[in-house]
Amino acid sequence: MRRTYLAGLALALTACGAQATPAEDEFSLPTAAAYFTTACPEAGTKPATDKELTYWSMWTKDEPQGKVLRYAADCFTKKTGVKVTIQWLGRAYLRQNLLPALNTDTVPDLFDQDLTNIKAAIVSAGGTRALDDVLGLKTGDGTVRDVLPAAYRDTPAIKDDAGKLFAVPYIVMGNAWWYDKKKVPGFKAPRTMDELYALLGDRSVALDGDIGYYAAWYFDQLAARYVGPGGLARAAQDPTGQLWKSDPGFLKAAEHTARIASHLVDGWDAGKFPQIQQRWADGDAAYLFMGSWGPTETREYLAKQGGGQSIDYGSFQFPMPDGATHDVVEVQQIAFGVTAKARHPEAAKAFIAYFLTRDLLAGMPAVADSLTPRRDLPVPSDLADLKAALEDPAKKHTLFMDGLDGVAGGKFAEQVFFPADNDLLKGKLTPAAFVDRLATATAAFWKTQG
Amino acid sequence: MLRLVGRAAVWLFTGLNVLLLYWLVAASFKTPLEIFRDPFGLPYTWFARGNPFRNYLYAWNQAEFGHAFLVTVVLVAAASASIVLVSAPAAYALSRFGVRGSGPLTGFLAIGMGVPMQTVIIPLFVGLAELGLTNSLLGLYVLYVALSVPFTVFLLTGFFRTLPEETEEAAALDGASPLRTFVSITLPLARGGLVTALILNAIGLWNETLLAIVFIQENSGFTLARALFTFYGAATYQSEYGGLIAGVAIVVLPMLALYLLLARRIITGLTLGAGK
Amino acid sequence: MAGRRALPADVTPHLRNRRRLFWPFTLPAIALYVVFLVGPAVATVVLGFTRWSGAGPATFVGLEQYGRLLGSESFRDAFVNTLGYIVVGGAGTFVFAFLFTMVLRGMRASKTVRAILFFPNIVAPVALGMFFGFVFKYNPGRQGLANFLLESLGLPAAGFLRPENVTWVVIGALVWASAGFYITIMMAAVDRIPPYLYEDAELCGASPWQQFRAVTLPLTWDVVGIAGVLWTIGAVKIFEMVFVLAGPGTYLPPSRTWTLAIYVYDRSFGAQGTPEYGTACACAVVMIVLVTVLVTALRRVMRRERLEY
Repeated sequence: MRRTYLAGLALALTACGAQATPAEDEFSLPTAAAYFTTACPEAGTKPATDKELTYWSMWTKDEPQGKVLRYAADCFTKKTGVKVTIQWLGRAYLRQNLLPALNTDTVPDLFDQDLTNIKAAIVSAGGTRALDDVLGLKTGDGTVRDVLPAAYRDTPAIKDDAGKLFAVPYIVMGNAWWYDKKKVPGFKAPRTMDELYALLGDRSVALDGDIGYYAAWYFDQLAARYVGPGGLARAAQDPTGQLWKSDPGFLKAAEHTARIASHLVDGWDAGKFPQIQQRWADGDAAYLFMGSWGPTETREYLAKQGGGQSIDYGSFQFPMPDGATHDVVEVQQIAFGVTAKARHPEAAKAFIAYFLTRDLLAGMPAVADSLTPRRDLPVPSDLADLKAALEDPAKKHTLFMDGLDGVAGGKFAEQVFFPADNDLLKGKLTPAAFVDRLATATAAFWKTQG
Repeated sequence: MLRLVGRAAVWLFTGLNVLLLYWLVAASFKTPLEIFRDPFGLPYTWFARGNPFRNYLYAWNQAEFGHAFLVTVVLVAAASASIVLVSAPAAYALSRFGVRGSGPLTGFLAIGMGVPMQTVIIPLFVGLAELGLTNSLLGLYVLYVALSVPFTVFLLTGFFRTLPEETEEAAALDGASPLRTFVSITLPLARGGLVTALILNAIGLWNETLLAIVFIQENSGFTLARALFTFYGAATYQSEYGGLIAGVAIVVLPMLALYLLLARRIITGLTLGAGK
Repeated sequence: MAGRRALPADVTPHLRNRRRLFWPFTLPAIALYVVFLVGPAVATVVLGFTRWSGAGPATFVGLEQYGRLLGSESFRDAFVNTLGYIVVGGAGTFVFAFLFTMVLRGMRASKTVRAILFFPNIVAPVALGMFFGFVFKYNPGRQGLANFLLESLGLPAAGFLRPENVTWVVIGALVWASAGFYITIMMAAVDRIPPYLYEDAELCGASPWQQFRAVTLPLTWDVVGIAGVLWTIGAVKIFEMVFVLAGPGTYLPPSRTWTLAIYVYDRSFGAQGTPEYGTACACAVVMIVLVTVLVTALRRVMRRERLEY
């Protein structure tokens, strides 16, 4: 499990007009073991009164991200005297735990999830408080505003309807086509869709079809290139459903999606997550379109398998299809939120600022193989291609799935989009029928939503 | 001929069940590669590495099944005992006192068995939240007791009806008070039924998942089924199949042990409940 | 349950004394029952006529929620699937149980077999769902048990877990897991049938099927009726097994595989957005109505003269 890290890649690119903090000193990531033994950095902000803090986490205790957060919480206690109680609840806890709890008195101070989920579940229920003041708090090295590039804190995705910041990110995620560099010698990233099709070859695309979210990415990536950021969300929210048809970009995206579907591995819709992505890791399929967590999960799989295999991870983005005008790259962030009912908001905010300290946040790339919003943190080599795409000034950032999974609290995707997309991928719907179906189903959906 | 085919089918089906149990136990000692490549073989990797209980240790410590196990044992024991404590006198009075209206009242209680849990869960959640009893094992305990009353009363009325009246009458003639008769004569006579009710409730509550998911939010209150549900998600992200199956085994094996000890009683109890 | 006739008002002082204990004995159970089951059930019916997100006041909207249910494709799927579990699953389970009673009667190892078949009933449905996920996986070269068997018989592997197939798979799994319980109930009733009836039948040359038709079924009719009621009650609320087997586990399964119980969960505690307790309660009322209608119908169909033997 040898990893190398490309330090300083962040220097090269300063996308999106952010005043990138130059990495004055060449910081290199510690090894995972070393990270947990480094001295705790000083806290820039200490809560004046709060002595404790409850944090509900989307991770579990044994996951690398969970371990990093546990370590940071212990450091926080050491440096500020604030006791941190953590509940490890796993990915689905916003729905299962936090949302029902909002109406009770058992509410955490601090919680985390991706932006779309937080917005759909907690912000819409009025469960969060504005975090704009966190930007002014001191981390261990500079204020939060200094260390977070604007591209990751000044977007519609992270603000509520009143324009207030509802969360502060600590992990940046992208998505990409993944391949094993060892298996594709002389690889060249495709520049046209035809090159992509040639590359994908026969039945070589892995997809865990039971996760609607993953299955939706092909259409959504292509459509975003035709209709631009926000275009999918607009069509989804059109009560007449006609936007799906009036913009020809959707049909073109559907046609390409149908072609990609013909490259999917046998049985992609009959497995159980994460079996198919593991088949990719085993070499049964050459390509996998997956989030930036793909290497983490598949590497852990290969290690636990005990088969002695490894992958040299490479990634590339969708090319621009013919006639498309928006060069986009999808971004999602995992962020902290503070509940409206929090009893210790001050401590929660101080912890957020503390965790963004470089030496602490370094655990995310070093231990958990994740990208962070800080530009001065080196990048795990697996994610170098992806990081470059995310910081390419020519590419516009757009939210994962254009936030479709958060429309109407997720019900739109579940009831309208995912079933239609599944039928398109299976060939049960032609691209034209797919667009028609989206139009009628969207209209029908909004009629019952009254 | 037909009979032979039938017997073959029965044995095949029975064999399948045994195979399943074998698979579960064997897989809980295997690495993921062994689980999927060699589903029926004996585990060897962890044994060869001198760490045969690796998966169990992982589940017990990392996935916190250890803590959940204690919570579940205490919760299930307390709730099952309370259920019987509340239901037995009611069932006794309803089946033996000959009070007018007992029949309809028993029927009224029995209807409760037919009410799916999901249909009352929302008001229950809202109500318990008002009392500050969500995310509380006490709250879950109260729910477990209350929601098991209809089945248990129904089951026990069946038992009490089968008891002979004479001993009680004799005790009454000797001047024992009705309460005393109940405690020292009837209950010992009905011991079999009470134990059955206890076991059946314990099994049901041990496996209960939905209420635990909805009502318990923090790790410290997780029951085994709840912990398994959460771990299932995490384990797939981490490819922790060995630990996951060990977790399943931790949930299933205690019930298996109980079953092996008491199979006859459990079966007759359930069928009596259904047959009466 | 041979009828214990209500005794005349005051036969013995002993009885009178006992009756004084009636309320102290029954009240705790009845109170718990009323507070935690009857009350909430009534509240659910009331909430079904409102729009409510759990916080703030509920708005009375009449039958609007029921209209929404009818207009919702996922509700229709959930309803049809739930009916499928009750009817198809029920038919499967009972055919299974009947076939087994024919064979098991007079089989020497009958008790052992019964005990083994009963075992899945004490395993948590979540655990069963996970297990079947492994059994039915489709993964060329590394098939789950089911496809492994198919392939070793020279048959093509099947995509059992496809959204359009998975309901059938869950029904199958459910039949397998429940069969033991119903076989046990049936066999307990069969054991009470006097053996000479079967001996007579055999002397007349009756086949196992004829014996079943002429002896077993008529004499276990009451038990079959009760078993049918139990099945209906159990199948209406099927939740965990579908949740775990039809979906990835962490998240909800695809909406076309939902059951009514999952629908209620999705609109209340599984909701990603604001909970819709009103819609969830309306669906819960549909569940109650469905149970009531089916159980009543079943009892009507099964009612007939009790045979004495």
